[in-house]
Amino acid sequence: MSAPGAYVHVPFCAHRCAYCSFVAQAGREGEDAYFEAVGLEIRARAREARGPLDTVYFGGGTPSFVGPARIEGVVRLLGETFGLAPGAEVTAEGNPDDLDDARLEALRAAGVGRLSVGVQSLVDGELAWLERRHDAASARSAVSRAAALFPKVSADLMIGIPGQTRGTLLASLDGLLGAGVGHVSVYLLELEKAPRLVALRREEPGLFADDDEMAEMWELVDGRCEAAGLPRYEVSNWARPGEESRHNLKYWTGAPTLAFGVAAHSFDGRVRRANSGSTTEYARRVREGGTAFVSEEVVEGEAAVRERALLGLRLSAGIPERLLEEASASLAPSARARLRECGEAGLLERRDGRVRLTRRGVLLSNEVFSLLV
Amino acid sequence: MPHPSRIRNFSIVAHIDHGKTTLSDRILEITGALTAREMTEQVLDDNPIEKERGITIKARAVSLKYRSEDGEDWSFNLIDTPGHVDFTYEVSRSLAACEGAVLVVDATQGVEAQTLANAYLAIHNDLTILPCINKIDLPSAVPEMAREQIEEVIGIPARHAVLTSGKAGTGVRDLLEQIVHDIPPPVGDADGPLRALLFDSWFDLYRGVTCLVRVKDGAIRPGLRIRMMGTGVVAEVQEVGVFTPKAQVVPELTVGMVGYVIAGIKDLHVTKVGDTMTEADRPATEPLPGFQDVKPMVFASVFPTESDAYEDLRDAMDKLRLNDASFTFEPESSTALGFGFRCGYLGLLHLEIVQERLEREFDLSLITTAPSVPYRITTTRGEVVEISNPVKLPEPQLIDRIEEPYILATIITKDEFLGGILALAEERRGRQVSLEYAGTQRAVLKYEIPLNEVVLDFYDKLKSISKGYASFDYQLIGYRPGDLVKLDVLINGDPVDALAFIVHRDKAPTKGRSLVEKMKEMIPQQMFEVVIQAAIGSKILARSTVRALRKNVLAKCYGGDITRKKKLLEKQKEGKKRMKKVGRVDLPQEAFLAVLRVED
Repeated sequence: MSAPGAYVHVPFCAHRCAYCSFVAQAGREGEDAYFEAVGLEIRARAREARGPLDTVYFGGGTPSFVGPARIEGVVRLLGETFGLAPGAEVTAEGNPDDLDDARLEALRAAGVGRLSVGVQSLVDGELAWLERRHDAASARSAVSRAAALFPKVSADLMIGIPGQTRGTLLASLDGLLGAGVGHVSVYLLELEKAPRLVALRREEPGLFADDDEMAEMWELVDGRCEAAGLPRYEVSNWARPGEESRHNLKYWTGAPTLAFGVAAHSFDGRVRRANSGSTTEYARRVREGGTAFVSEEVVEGEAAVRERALLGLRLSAGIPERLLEEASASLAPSARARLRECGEAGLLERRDGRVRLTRRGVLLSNEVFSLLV
Repeated sequence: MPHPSRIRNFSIVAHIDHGKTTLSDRILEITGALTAREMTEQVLDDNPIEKERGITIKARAVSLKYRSEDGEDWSFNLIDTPGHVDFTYEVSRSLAACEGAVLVVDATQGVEAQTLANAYLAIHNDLTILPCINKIDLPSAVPEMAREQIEEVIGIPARHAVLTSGKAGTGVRDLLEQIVHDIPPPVGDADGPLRALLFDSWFDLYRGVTCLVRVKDGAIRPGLRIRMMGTGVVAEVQEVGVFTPKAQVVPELTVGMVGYVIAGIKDLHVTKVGDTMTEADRPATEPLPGFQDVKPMVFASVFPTESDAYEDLRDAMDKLRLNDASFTFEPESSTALGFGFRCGYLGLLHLEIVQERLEREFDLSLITTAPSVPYRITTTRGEVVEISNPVKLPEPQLIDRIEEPYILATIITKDEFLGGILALAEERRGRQVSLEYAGTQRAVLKYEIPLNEVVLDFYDKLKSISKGYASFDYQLIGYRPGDLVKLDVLINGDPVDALAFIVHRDKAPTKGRSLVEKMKEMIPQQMFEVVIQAAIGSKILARSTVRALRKNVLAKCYGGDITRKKKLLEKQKEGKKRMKKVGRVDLPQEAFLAVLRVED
């Protein structure tokens, strides 16, 4: 089994953005108690990992918003507790407004080798709709400076922002590529979780791209990244070869991940466990019992085979044909027939003994995945 | 056994929500039949035998003892009537078992369509009508208004109408005194051959069929061989009794009495409401008047969403039919939807009741097609055929004439909604028969309308136009010719038989256009384009397209929360399961009823 990775959730932000559906709070209240709890949880789960960690990922929230000393402390503790493999990938997410030179240097010194910057757009008007605190210029500057300092830099972009056009999307993408990022993640804005944006769409539907336009925008990104030497390696991730997120790949390949902090999700190869989604509840549980698991899902047998196929198909490398056959063997006849239709409709392609989603198939991947679940 | 002169048989009739049930309960309480506590306890008891008693409480006839103010003892039979327009025939047979009817009118609402319909049924059955103005305890009660409307709209004197409050109990004793003095006693030939009117029957596994009857002539006792004059079935009486409301065995049922008969009959379909029970060995020469074999007037097809649930559906329908003699079904095979059933119902409410029971009690996921009515076709060769399914309509060149059922609709409304209702009735091919005013703001409207136009969402539209205030009742008035055509719906070029419906030729183009647009909204985007067409024969009237789905993707996987991602996918999977696959296209249940939702 591949080496385990660790995820640490940092639920603090300067401000809650319009579209945010993550567990996060504005302000640093309770930060001391929270990191104390994370420390307790890491120590309490010392025996969970087999072998040293080869990835650590700080997600949020905004990890760059808290003091770099916090990050450094957790990295050190993880190393002491589980061991860090040589060349381990340590990623932190950060927002451009936090990333002045001092903060960048401190994060680098804390052991972070990969920075994932939440840019979302390089158009000021679009950033305003999202209620991001940075503007395009500061984002561009943060990404350039990060690229000079960190071995690996990734940036997030979003499709579906009010007022966004193909032109502005490409301008944002080109800006990032020009600033030297080797990894791009592109997400589709989910309006359902953003009441203010839902209201806006009701008033000014013209500002919003429909599903077809969003699909076209995604294809545009796919083509441009590929041309720039960052082929797609996962449904929403593009990277220069060698700059893929090793941590995120663990999710798609079923590698074990230990996740710490509020709402974090761990997987040991068989059982998925979720931590409490409430920060106070999380801290209380950890203080009382060392862990904060509130639910678990055991994945084994036929369901595990189907899950492996489902997750593996998110990757551009696809899965062995044999795995898909094994997975579809446990499906109802009607679902098997539908899976065949997905193939006939050009969503899947078979080559060299492997099955992959086609470009069209990626955009319709839930049609395939919902059969395998 | 009570002497006929001591018996009073009556029904309570009312528009829905005018307080009939509360008033009936109050009468039961005053006559000491059952305390409120007993009623609750018995109805809620879960033991099967007790449950059976629960059924007896709901039985449509209760025998009550009443001592009037002058100290005399009376035997009352209170006969309940079903409260919906679909069951007009059953109501009329229940009324035929009575000599009188209490007509309850809500003092805050006045006369409504069902008040009128029920009053007419009572008049038609030569009953003595006792008007009763109820809910007088409410602050908004205007008894004078109700009194005027009874006189003006129904045309019966209401000067002596009792003012009651079922809730507070006010006036109920006065009503019972009126029943004693104003409703005539039953008369009949005690020594003649038995004639008993069957006005309700039900089936249970323990005892088979229980018949509720009103004895007109002669007597019924255990051991007597009886014959149902309509269906010809002969059986030997095992037990007779009355409901008080507990079932209570009696030695015999004599002239004027109302009670139950158990005769070892196992099939509900041979004990038809309205039939006359007589002696097998000394039969009456004439049955009681008014017996009809009620035919279903609304038809719809039912298919399981998953074809392997067909057997379950058939079992469920068999079970339902045991207890519902007016529900009919026969197997149907649809090219598009596979195996299912064509079901016949008395009306729309009946349809809804049955379908809800199928889904809820039997846990079935079903596709129901739009309701339709029976058509009478005269072919060019002179044959007359009746079809209950649009699919069965012969080719146009073979049709000489199509006739469709018409109803006489009575609508009572405040005049502020009159404009909208007239427009609706006209648009539904209605022909105005009369428009009268009762008082200054209340219109009584009569229209002849094709039943076909009524089963397609008329009632909901009427409710929405009148903000729920207009009341509606109807009676069938026979078949009339119409210029009707079959409208086919094609999905990706293939006609879907279960979506076809019959429509007036002039309305076909508009209907077709609205329908394909409506279906476009209802059919979810799929991996390929879905083309919806409406056509008469080979002529395409309208077309709409559901564009191919371009995007169905979960992009962000947050912090490894794969469980949540799978839950979202499972939701999509469940959504697909509730749809019916027609060819390659997934159609949601609502798409089969789209024709009910189109704006005209």
